[in-house]
Amino acid sequence: MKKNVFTTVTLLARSAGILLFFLYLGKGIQFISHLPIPGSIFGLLLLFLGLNLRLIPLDYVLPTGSFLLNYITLFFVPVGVGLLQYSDLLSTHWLTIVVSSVISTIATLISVGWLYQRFAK
Amino acid sequence: MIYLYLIATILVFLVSRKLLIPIKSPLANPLLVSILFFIGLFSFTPLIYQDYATANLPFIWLLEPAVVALAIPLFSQIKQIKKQFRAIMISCCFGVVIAISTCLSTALLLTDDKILLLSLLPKSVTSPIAMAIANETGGLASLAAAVVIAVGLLGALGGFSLLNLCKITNPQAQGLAMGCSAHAIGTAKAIEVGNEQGAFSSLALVISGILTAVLAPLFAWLIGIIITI
Repeated sequence: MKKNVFTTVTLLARSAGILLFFLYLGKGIQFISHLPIPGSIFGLLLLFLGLNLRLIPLDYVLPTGSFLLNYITLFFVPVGVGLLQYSDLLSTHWLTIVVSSVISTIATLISVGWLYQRFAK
Repeated sequence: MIYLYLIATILVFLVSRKLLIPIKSPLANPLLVSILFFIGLFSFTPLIYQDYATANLPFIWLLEPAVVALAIPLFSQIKQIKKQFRAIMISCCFGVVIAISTCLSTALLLTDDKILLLSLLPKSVTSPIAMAIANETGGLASLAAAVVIAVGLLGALGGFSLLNLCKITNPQAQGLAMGCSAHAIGTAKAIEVGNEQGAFSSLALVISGILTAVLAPLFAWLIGIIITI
């Protein structure tokens, strides 16, 4: 029992360490390159590369990785509540924002889905 | 003491997720319900939003490694991604151009406020990219961030219903459409729907984010020309 807890903690720590390593590697690239792409996106791409090149076995990132992905929607709650800060900006321009966002989101969803179904093998 | 707000976020989210299971409506979305709950709380009671924001910073930090972890579903679908690479690139490239051009053309019918237009331009990409783009082109980063969040919620709420209604039922097509139109919030929804949807949505999130960053200066230049005419 005690040994099991120990292994779980080690596995969690290892997977968390790998994710943080790639996150900060990504942030480093962002810092050096000054590209308008966030470090987390570079981190995603590098981890994807690492997994494909078999440098990182999938099992090594799964414990923390699947935990984070299971709760990713929860992390967006404070992001959404943050809209409160922008209530003035949003209420000034609400009509333009609502009309263009709704029309454009519908157009994008349908056209991307349709194009993919048309061209996929 | 303010850290009770952190626990409150978890509780409200988990409880609304549990209670909303039997309701089959896109609006019965735990993310939307939790957000509205707290917005209502800070709008109608003397409680202070800033305390909530400070207490919930750990969740904002966790979003970054969570984005890195999106490499996992992506890797699990590597065979499909290689096989469909051409179709993926075609639909994402057109998707980005359609997302920006339909947004700007409808907005131009309603406004000639250049700062507003430049802040709407990156509305379909994840907020750090959108804020960087807005800064670079002369838009307002905070307005861009607000629009991005609203668009993400819109896609997460109605996206799958609309896709099913339009007979876009291929899980890969659904994922790409969500990632291209509703970035990370749409991707979070796609992960809940299925592994394939989640992987393809993550892929579209990355591709459309990078493409939008590349194309934004061109569209910003076009806005400048159209407004002066």
